[in-house]
Amino acid sequence: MIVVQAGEHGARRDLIIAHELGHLLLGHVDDLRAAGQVAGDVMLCRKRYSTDNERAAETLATRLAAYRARSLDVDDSPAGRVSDFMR
Amino acid sequence: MNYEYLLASIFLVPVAVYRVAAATQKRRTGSTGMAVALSGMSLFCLAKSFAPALDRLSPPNLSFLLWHLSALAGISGVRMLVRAARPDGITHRQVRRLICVGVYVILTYLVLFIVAPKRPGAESLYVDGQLHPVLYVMKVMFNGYMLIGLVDLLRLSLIGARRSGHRATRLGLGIAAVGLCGAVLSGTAGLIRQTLSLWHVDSLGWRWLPALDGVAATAVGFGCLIPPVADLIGRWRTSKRWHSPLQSLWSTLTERIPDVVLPPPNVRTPLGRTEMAIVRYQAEIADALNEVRLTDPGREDWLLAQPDPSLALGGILREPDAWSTDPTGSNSIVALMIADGQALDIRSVADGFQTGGQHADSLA
Repeated sequence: MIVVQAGEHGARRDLIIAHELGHLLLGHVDDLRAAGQVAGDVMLCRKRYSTDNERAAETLATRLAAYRARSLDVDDSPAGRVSDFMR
Repeated sequence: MNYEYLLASIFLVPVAVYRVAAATQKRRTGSTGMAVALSGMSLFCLAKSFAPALDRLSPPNLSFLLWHLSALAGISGVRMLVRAARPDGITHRQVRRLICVGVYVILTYLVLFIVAPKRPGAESLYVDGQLHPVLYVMKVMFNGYMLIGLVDLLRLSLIGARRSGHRATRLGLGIAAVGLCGAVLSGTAGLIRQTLSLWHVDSLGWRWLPALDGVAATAVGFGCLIPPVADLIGRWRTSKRWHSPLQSLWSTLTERIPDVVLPPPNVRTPLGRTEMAIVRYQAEIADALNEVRLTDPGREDWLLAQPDPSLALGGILREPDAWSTDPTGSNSIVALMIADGQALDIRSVADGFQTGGQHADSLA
Protein backbone atom coordinates (compact mmCIF):
# COMPACT_ATOMS: atom_id res chain seq x y z
CA MET A 1 0.00 0.00 0.00
CA ILE A 2 1.27 3.48 -0.85
CA VAL A 3 0.19 6.32 1.47
CA VAL A 4 0.38 9.96 0.37
CA GLN A 5 0.11 12.93 2.74
CA ALA A 6 -3.24 14.75 2.58
CA GLY A 7 -3.07 17.90 0.47
CA GLU A 8 -0.58 16.54 -2.05
CA HIS A 9 -2.00 16.66 -5.55
CA GLY A 10 -1.16 16.56 -9.26
CA ALA A 11 2.42 16.08 -10.36
CA ARG A 12 3.77 16.11 -6.79
CA ARG A 13 1.45 13.30 -5.67
CA ASP A 14 2.42 11.33 -8.80
CA LEU A 15 6.12 11.83 -8.02
CA ILE A 16 5.67 10.54 -4.47
CA ILE A 17 3.80 7.46 -5.70
CA ALA A 18 6.36 6.90 -8.46
CA HIS A 19 9.17 7.07 -5.87
CA GLU A 20 7.63 4.24 -3.83
CA LEU A 21 6.90 2.22 -6.97
CA GLY A 22 10.55 2.82 -7.90
CA HIS A 23 11.66 1.06 -4.70
CA LEU A 24 9.45 -1.92 -5.58
CA LEU A 25 10.54 -2.04 -9.24
CA LEU A 26 14.21 -1.75 -8.36
CA GLY A 27 13.92 -4.61 -5.84
CA HIS A 28 14.93 -2.56 -2.78
CA VAL A 29 12.43 -4.30 -0.48
CA ASP A 30 13.76 -7.70 -1.52
CA ASP A 31 17.33 -6.44 -0.96
CA LEU A 32 16.46 -5.41 2.61
CA ARG A 33 14.82 -8.76 3.31
CA ALA A 34 17.74 -10.68 1.78
CA ALA A 35 20.20 -8.71 3.92
CA GLY A 36 18.20 -9.69 7.00
CA GLN A 37 17.66 -6.04 7.89
CA VAL A 38 13.89 -6.42 7.93
CA ALA A 39 11.37 -9.26 8.21
CA GLY A 40 7.70 -9.45 7.40
CA ASP A 41 6.03 -6.19 6.31
CA VAL A 42 8.32 -3.34 5.34
CA MET A 43 7.51 0.36 5.58
CA LEU A 44 9.46 2.74 3.37
CA CYS A 45 9.11 6.51 3.33
CA ARG A 46 10.31 9.17 0.92
CA LYS A 47 13.10 11.03 2.67
CA ARG A 48 16.48 12.55 1.88
CA TYR A 49 18.73 11.06 -0.77
CA SER A 50 21.61 9.99 1.45
CA THR A 51 21.52 6.33 0.35
CA ASP A 52 21.95 4.78 -3.11
CA ASN A 53 18.47 3.21 -2.92
CA GLU A 54 16.77 6.56 -2.21
CA ARG A 55 18.69 8.25 -5.03
CA ALA A 56 17.85 5.44 -7.47
CA ALA A 57 14.13 5.44 -6.58
CA GLU A 58 13.88 9.23 -6.85
CA THR A 59 15.80 9.27 -10.16
CA LEU A 60 13.39 6.71 -11.63
CA ALA A 61 10.41 8.69 -10.26
CA THR A 62 11.80 11.88 -11.83
CA ARG A 63 12.18 10.23 -15.22
CA LEU A 64 8.59 8.94 -15.03
CA ALA A 65 7.35 12.39 -13.97
CA ALA A 66 9.21 14.09 -16.85
CA TYR A 67 7.76 11.56 -19.31
CA ARG A 68 4.26 12.08 -17.90
CA ALA A 69 4.59 15.86 -18.11
CA ARG A 70 5.24 15.51 -21.84
CA SER A 71 2.45 12.97 -22.41
CA LEU A 72 -0.39 14.79 -20.61
CA ASP A 73 -1.84 16.49 -23.69
CA VAL A 74 -1.97 13.37 -25.91
CA ASP A 75 -5.17 13.28 -27.96
CA ASP A 76 -6.67 9.74 -27.94
CA SER A 77 -8.73 10.07 -31.16
CA PRO A 78 -7.61 8.42 -34.46
CA ALA A 79 -6.15 11.81 -35.40
CA GLY A 80 -4.43 11.98 -32.04
CA ARG A 81 -2.90 8.57 -32.62
CA VAL A 82 -1.54 9.67 -36.02
CA SER A 83 -0.25 12.80 -34.34
CA ASP A 84 1.29 10.64 -31.62
CA PHE A 85 2.99 8.48 -34.26
CA MET A 86 4.46 11.71 -35.65
CA ARG A 87 5.90 12.85 -32.34
CA MET B 1 18.63 15.24 -62.93
CA ASN B 2 14.97 15.84 -62.01
CA TYR B 3 14.99 18.91 -59.79
CA GLU B 4 11.36 18.58 -58.62
CA TYR B 5 12.18 15.22 -57.08
CA LEU B 6 15.52 16.45 -55.76
CA LEU B 7 13.68 19.23 -53.93
CA ALA B 8 11.20 16.70 -52.51
CA SER B 9 14.14 14.47 -51.47
CA ILE B 10 15.76 17.36 -49.58
CA PHE B 11 12.59 17.62 -47.48
CA LEU B 12 11.78 13.93 -47.22
CA VAL B 13 15.13 12.28 -46.45
CA PRO B 14 15.68 14.08 -43.09
CA VAL B 15 12.03 13.45 -42.17
CA ALA B 16 12.39 9.75 -43.00
CA VAL B 17 15.64 9.44 -41.01
CA TYR B 18 13.93 11.13 -38.04
CA ARG B 19 10.93 8.80 -38.32
CA VAL B 20 13.11 5.66 -38.57
CA ALA B 21 15.01 6.74 -35.43
CA ALA B 22 11.71 7.43 -33.62
CA ALA B 23 10.24 4.07 -34.71
CA THR B 24 13.35 2.24 -33.49
CA GLN B 25 12.82 3.76 -30.05
CA LYS B 26 9.02 3.43 -29.87
CA ARG B 27 8.61 -0.05 -31.46
CA ARG B 28 4.94 0.55 -32.25
CA THR B 29 3.16 -0.56 -35.42
CA GLY B 30 1.95 2.98 -36.23
CA SER B 31 5.40 4.50 -35.86
CA THR B 32 6.93 1.67 -37.91
CA GLY B 33 4.29 2.13 -40.62
CA MET B 34 5.00 5.86 -40.80
CA ALA B 35 8.76 5.24 -40.96
CA VAL B 36 8.36 2.66 -43.79
CA ALA B 37 6.00 5.00 -45.68
CA LEU B 38 8.32 7.99 -45.48
CA SER B 39 11.40 5.87 -46.24
CA GLY B 40 9.64 4.50 -49.33
CA MET B 41 8.69 8.02 -50.45
CA SER B 42 12.25 9.26 -49.89
CA LEU B 43 13.78 6.40 -51.89
CA PHE B 44 11.16 6.97 -54.60
CA CYS B 45 12.17 10.63 -54.91
CA LEU B 46 15.89 9.80 -54.79
CA ALA B 47 15.50 7.16 -57.52
CA LYS B 48 13.60 9.69 -59.65
CA SER B 49 16.20 12.40 -58.94
CA PHE B 50 19.16 10.29 -60.01
CA ALA B 51 17.38 8.28 -62.73
CA PRO B 52 19.85 9.09 -65.54
CA ALA B 53 22.82 7.90 -63.45
CA LEU B 54 20.99 4.76 -62.30
CA ASP B 55 19.97 3.88 -65.85
CA ARG B 56 23.60 3.69 -66.90
CA LEU B 57 23.97 0.75 -64.49
CA SER B 58 22.81 -2.85 -64.93
CA PRO B 59 20.10 -4.17 -65.23
CA PRO B 60 18.50 -1.86 -67.81
CA ASN B 61 15.80 0.52 -66.51
CA LEU B 62 17.10 0.17 -62.95
CA SER B 63 15.69 3.55 -61.85
CA PHE B 64 12.24 2.53 -63.12
CA LEU B 65 12.37 -0.66 -61.02
CA LEU B 66 13.75 1.09 -57.92
CA TRP B 67 11.22 3.89 -57.79
CA HIS B 68 8.33 1.49 -58.30
CA LEU B 69 9.56 -0.88 -55.56
CA SER B 70 10.21 2.06 -53.20
CA ALA B 71 6.72 3.39 -53.80
CA LEU B 72 5.14 -0.04 -53.23
CA ALA B 73 7.05 -0.41 -49.93
CA GLY B 74 5.92 3.09 -48.97
CA ILE B 75 2.29 2.23 -49.73
CA SER B 76 2.57 -0.86 -47.51
CA GLY B 77 3.81 1.38 -44.70
CA VAL B 78 0.91 3.76 -45.27
CA ARG B 79 -1.60 0.94 -45.03
CA MET B 80 -0.03 -0.25 -41.77
CA LEU B 81 -0.17 3.29 -40.36
CA VAL B 82 -3.81 3.77 -41.35
CA ARG B 83 -4.83 0.50 -39.74
CA ALA B 84 -2.88 1.26 -36.56
CA ALA B 85 -4.62 4.64 -36.26
CA ARG B 86 -8.10 3.13 -36.18
CA PRO B 87 -9.95 3.31 -32.84
CA ASP B 88 -9.68 -0.47 -32.34
CA GLY B 89 -5.96 -0.44 -33.19
CA ILE B 90 -4.29 -3.25 -35.12
CA THR B 91 -3.68 -6.87 -34.15
CA HIS B 92 -0.48 -8.85 -34.77
CA ARG B 93 -2.43 -10.98 -37.24
CA GLN B 94 -3.45 -7.92 -39.24
CA VAL B 95 0.13 -6.68 -39.22
CA ARG B 96 1.34 -10.03 -40.55
CA ARG B 97 -1.37 -9.97 -43.24
CA LEU B 98 -0.44 -6.45 -44.36
CA ILE B 99 3.25 -7.43 -44.51
CA CYS B 100 2.41 -10.58 -46.54
CA VAL B 101 0.29 -8.58 -49.00
CA GLY B 102 3.04 -5.95 -49.34
CA VAL B 103 5.74 -8.57 -49.95
CA TYR B 104 3.48 -10.40 -52.43
CA VAL B 105 2.81 -7.22 -54.42
CA ILE B 106 6.51 -6.26 -54.46
CA LEU B 107 7.67 -9.75 -55.54
CA THR B 108 4.96 -10.01 -58.21
CA TYR B 109 5.98 -6.61 -59.55
CA LEU B 110 9.61 -7.75 -59.61
CA VAL B 111 8.71 -10.88 -61.59
CA LEU B 112 6.63 -8.83 -64.03
CA PHE B 113 9.58 -6.44 -64.47
CA ILE B 114 11.89 -9.37 -65.26
CA VAL B 115 9.60 -10.68 -68.01
CA ALA B 116 8.61 -7.24 -69.36
CA PRO B 117 10.33 -5.87 -72.49
CA LYS B 118 13.19 -3.52 -71.54
CA ARG B 119 14.16 -0.17 -73.02
CA PRO B 120 17.89 0.32 -72.24
CA GLY B 121 18.72 3.94 -71.49
CA ALA B 122 15.08 5.01 -71.24
CA GLU B 123 13.59 6.34 -67.99
CA SER B 124 10.32 4.44 -68.48
CA LEU B 125 9.32 1.06 -69.90
CA TYR B 126 6.12 2.55 -71.28
CA VAL B 127 5.90 3.79 -74.85
CA ASP B 128 2.78 5.66 -75.84
CA GLY B 129 0.75 3.68 -78.34
CA GLN B 130 2.85 0.52 -77.94
CA LEU B 131 1.71 -0.81 -74.60
CA HIS B 132 2.72 -4.41 -73.96
CA PRO B 133 0.13 -6.47 -71.97
CA VAL B 134 2.66 -7.21 -69.18
CA LEU B 135 3.42 -3.51 -68.86
CA TYR B 136 -0.26 -2.71 -68.66
CA VAL B 137 -0.72 -5.29 -65.86
CA MET B 138 2.23 -3.69 -64.05
CA LYS B 139 0.69 -0.26 -64.42
CA VAL B 140 -2.75 -1.34 -63.21
CA MET B 141 -1.23 -3.26 -60.31
CA PHE B 142 0.98 -0.39 -59.22
CA ASN B 143 -1.59 2.38 -59.56
CA GLY B 144 -4.36 0.29 -58.02
CA TYR B 145 -2.26 -0.54 -54.93
CA MET B 146 -1.13 3.04 -54.66
CA LEU B 147 -4.66 4.43 -54.91
CA ILE B 148 -5.92 2.07 -52.17
CA GLY B 149 -3.21 3.29 -49.81
CA LEU B 150 -3.55 6.95 -50.76
CA VAL B 151 -7.33 7.07 -50.41
CA ASP B 152 -7.12 5.40 -46.98
CA LEU B 153 -4.49 7.87 -45.84
CA LEU B 154 -6.33 10.84 -47.34
CA ARG B 155 -9.50 9.92 -45.42
CA LEU B 156 -7.57 9.58 -42.18
CA SER B 157 -5.71 12.87 -42.76
CA LEU B 158 -8.95 14.73 -43.41
CA ILE B 159 -10.51 13.32 -40.21
CA GLY B 160 -7.39 14.38 -38.30
CA ALA B 161 -7.31 17.83 -39.89
CA ARG B 162 -10.93 18.40 -38.78
CA ARG B 163 -10.94 16.80 -35.32
CA SER B 164 -7.48 17.03 -33.77
CA GLY B 165 -7.23 19.14 -30.62
CA HIS B 166 -3.75 20.35 -31.60
CA ARG B 167 -3.52 23.29 -33.97
CA ALA B 168 -0.14 22.17 -35.32
CA THR B 169 -1.50 18.67 -36.02
CA ARG B 170 -4.55 20.10 -37.80
CA LEU B 171 -2.31 22.28 -39.97
CA GLY B 172 0.19 19.47 -40.63
CA LEU B 173 -2.50 16.95 -41.56
CA GLY B 174 -4.30 19.58 -43.68
CA ILE B 175 -1.15 20.22 -45.71
CA ALA B 176 -0.51 16.47 -45.94
CA ALA B 177 -4.10 15.99 -47.17
CA VAL B 178 -3.55 18.55 -49.94
CA GLY B 179 -0.43 16.67 -50.98
CA LEU B 180 -2.32 13.37 -50.89
CA CYS B 181 -5.09 14.82 -53.09
CA GLY B 182 -2.39 15.68 -55.59
CA ALA B 183 -0.96 12.17 -55.35
CA VAL B 184 -4.40 10.56 -55.85
CA LEU B 185 -4.99 12.82 -58.86
CA SER B 186 -1.59 11.96 -60.27
CA GLY B 187 -2.09 8.20 -59.77
CA THR B 188 -5.53 8.27 -61.37
CA ALA B 189 -4.30 10.41 -64.27
CA GLY B 190 -1.37 8.07 -64.85
CA LEU B 191 -3.68 5.07 -65.10
CA ILE B 192 -6.06 6.90 -67.46
CA ARG B 193 -3.13 7.97 -69.58
CA GLN B 194 -1.84 4.43 -69.98
CA THR B 195 -5.31 3.09 -70.72
CA LEU B 196 -5.88 5.77 -73.35
CA SER B 197 -2.52 5.00 -74.90
CA LEU B 198 -3.76 1.47 -75.62
CA TRP B 199 -6.12 3.08 -78.10
CA HIS B 200 -3.38 5.41 -79.34
CA VAL B 201 -5.17 8.38 -77.76
CA ASP B 202 -2.70 10.83 -76.29
CA SER B 203 -1.28 14.35 -76.70
CA LEU B 204 -3.43 15.58 -73.82
CA GLY B 205 -0.44 17.33 -72.27
CA TRP B 206 0.62 14.98 -69.44
CA ARG B 207 3.92 16.68 -68.75
CA TRP B 208 2.51 18.21 -65.56
CA LEU B 209 2.36 14.79 -63.88
CA PRO B 210 5.99 14.63 -62.60
CA ALA B 211 5.70 18.18 -61.26
CA LEU B 212 2.47 17.24 -59.49
CA ASP B 213 4.19 14.19 -57.95
CA GLY B 214 7.01 16.37 -56.66
CA VAL B 215 4.66 19.01 -55.20
CA ALA B 216 2.49 16.32 -53.60
CA ALA B 217 5.47 14.55 -52.00
CA THR B 218 6.83 17.88 -50.73
CA ALA B 219 3.47 18.82 -49.19
CA VAL B 220 3.15 15.44 -47.46
CA GLY B 221 6.71 15.63 -46.09
CA PHE B 222 6.23 19.23 -44.94
CA GLY B 223 2.88 18.37 -43.32
CA CYS B 224 4.43 15.46 -41.43
CA LEU B 225 7.25 17.68 -40.21
CA ILE B 226 5.01 20.38 -38.69
CA PRO B 227 3.68 18.52 -35.58
CA PRO B 228 7.06 17.36 -34.19
CA VAL B 229 8.64 20.74 -34.92
CA ALA B 230 5.70 22.57 -33.28
CA ASP B 231 5.96 20.15 -30.34
CA LEU B 232 9.66 20.98 -29.95
CA ILE B 233 8.99 24.72 -30.13
CA GLY B 234 6.19 24.39 -27.53
CA ARG B 235 8.44 22.41 -25.18
CA TRP B 236 11.26 24.92 -25.64
CA ARG B 237 8.95 27.88 -24.89
CA THR B 238 7.55 26.20 -21.76
CA SER B 239 11.06 25.40 -20.56
CA LYS B 240 12.21 28.96 -21.26
CA ARG B 241 9.21 30.37 -19.36
CA TRP B 242 9.70 28.33 -16.18
CA HIS B 243 13.38 27.45 -15.88
CA SER B 244 14.65 30.82 -14.68
CA PRO B 245 11.94 31.62 -12.04
CA LEU B 246 12.10 28.09 -10.61
CA GLN B 247 15.89 28.10 -10.58
CA SER B 248 16.18 31.33 -8.59
CA LEU B 249 13.65 30.13 -5.98
CA TRP B 250 15.32 26.70 -5.86
CA SER B 251 18.77 28.27 -5.34
CA THR B 252 17.53 30.39 -2.43
CA LEU B 253 15.77 27.49 -0.70
CA THR B 254 18.42 24.80 -1.22
CA GLU B 255 21.16 27.14 -0.01
CA ARG B 256 19.55 26.82 3.44
CA ILE B 257 18.01 23.33 3.00
CA PRO B 258 20.63 21.47 0.91
CA ASP B 259 19.66 17.90 1.77
CA VAL B 260 16.54 17.95 -0.47
CA VAL B 261 18.77 18.08 -3.56
CA LEU B 262 19.11 14.99 -5.77
CA PRO B 263 22.08 14.74 -8.18
CA PRO B 264 20.54 15.54 -11.60
CA PRO B 265 19.62 12.46 -13.70
CA ASN B 266 21.66 12.05 -16.88
CA VAL B 267 19.79 13.30 -19.99
CA ARG B 268 21.27 13.49 -23.48
CA THR B 269 19.61 16.53 -25.09
CA PRO B 270 19.83 20.14 -23.84
CA LEU B 271 16.02 20.49 -23.99
CA GLY B 272 15.58 17.19 -22.09
CA ARG B 273 18.07 18.39 -19.46
CA THR B 274 16.13 21.63 -19.00
CA GLU B 275 12.82 19.75 -18.70
CA MET B 276 14.33 17.34 -16.21
CA ALA B 277 15.76 20.27 -14.23
CA ILE B 278 12.28 21.85 -14.09
CA VAL B 279 10.79 18.60 -12.72
CA ARG B 280 13.54 18.41 -10.08
CA TYR B 281 13.28 22.10 -9.15
CA GLN B 282 9.55 21.68 -8.52
CA ALA B 283 10.02 18.50 -6.46
CA GLU B 284 12.88 19.91 -4.41
CA ILE B 285 11.17 23.28 -3.86
CA ALA B 286 8.08 21.42 -2.55
CA ASP B 287 10.29 19.28 -0.27
CA ALA B 288 12.12 22.36 1.00
CA LEU B 289 8.88 24.28 1.64
CA ASN B 290 7.84 21.49 4.02
CA GLU B 291 10.67 22.75 6.25
CA VAL B 292 9.87 26.46 5.99
CA ARG B 293 8.31 28.33 8.94
CA LEU B 294 7.48 32.02 9.04
CA THR B 295 9.44 33.88 11.72
CA ASP B 296 6.51 36.25 12.37
CA PRO B 297 3.44 34.07 13.22
CA GLY B 298 1.22 37.11 12.55
CA ARG B 299 2.00 36.84 8.84
CA GLU B 300 0.57 33.32 8.67
CA ASP B 301 -3.02 34.56 8.94
CA TRP B 302 -2.29 37.33 6.45
CA LEU B 303 -0.81 34.81 4.02
CA LEU B 304 -3.76 32.40 4.25
CA ALA B 305 -6.19 35.30 3.68
CA GLN B 306 -4.56 36.23 0.35
CA PRO B 307 -6.44 35.41 -2.89
CA ASP B 308 -3.39 33.42 -4.05
CA PRO B 309 -1.42 32.26 -0.96
CA SER B 310 1.20 30.51 -3.14
CA LEU B 311 1.99 33.77 -4.93
CA ALA B 312 2.12 35.68 -1.63
CA LEU B 313 4.40 32.99 -0.14
CA GLY B 314 6.82 33.57 -3.03
CA GLY B 315 6.96 37.24 -2.09
CA ILE B 316 7.70 36.41 1.56
CA LEU B 317 10.49 34.00 0.61
CA ARG B 318 12.39 36.93 -0.96
CA GLU B 319 12.98 38.26 2.57
CA PRO B 320 15.74 36.12 4.16
CA ASP B 321 14.70 37.07 7.70
CA ALA B 322 11.00 36.37 7.14
CA TRP B 323 11.39 32.60 7.26
CA SER B 324 13.47 29.90 8.91
CA THR B 325 13.87 26.14 9.01
CA ASP B 326 13.78 25.90 12.79
CA PRO B 327 11.46 22.93 13.52
CA THR B 328 10.48 24.21 16.97
CA GLY B 329 7.43 26.40 17.37
CA SER B 330 4.81 26.77 14.66
CA ASN B 331 3.96 24.30 11.89
CA SER B 332 5.55 24.57 8.45
CA ILE B 333 3.82 26.96 6.12
CA VAL B 334 2.86 24.08 3.80
CA ALA B 335 1.19 22.22 6.70
CA LEU B 336 -0.73 25.39 7.57
CA MET B 337 -1.88 25.83 3.95
CA ILE B 338 -2.99 22.19 3.72
CA ALA B 339 -4.87 22.48 7.04
CA ASP B 340 -6.58 25.60 5.66
CA GLY B 341 -7.60 23.74 2.49
CA GLN B 342 -5.23 25.75 0.27
CA ALA B 343 -3.38 24.07 -2.57
CA LEU B 344 0.34 24.77 -2.91
CA ASP B 345 1.21 25.76 -6.48
CA ILE B 346 4.99 25.71 -6.93
CA ARG B 347 4.91 27.74 -10.15
CA SER B 348 2.87 30.46 -8.44
CA VAL B 349 5.40 30.50 -5.59
CA ALA B 350 8.19 30.91 -8.19
CA ASP B 351 6.28 33.70 -9.91
CA GLY B 352 5.70 35.43 -6.55
CA PHE B 353 9.39 35.03 -5.71
CA GLN B 354 10.31 36.84 -8.93
CA THR B 355 7.69 39.59 -8.70
CA GLY B 356 7.54 40.16 -4.95
CA GLY B 357 4.18 38.45 -4.54
CA GLN B 358 2.36 40.10 -7.42
CA HIS B 359 0.95 38.49 -10.55
CA ALA B 360 3.46 38.69 -13.39
CA ASP B 361 0.68 40.05 -15.65
CA SER B 362 -0.01 43.00 -13.32
CA LEU B 363 3.63 44.11 -13.63
CA ALA B 364 3.63 44.05 -17.42
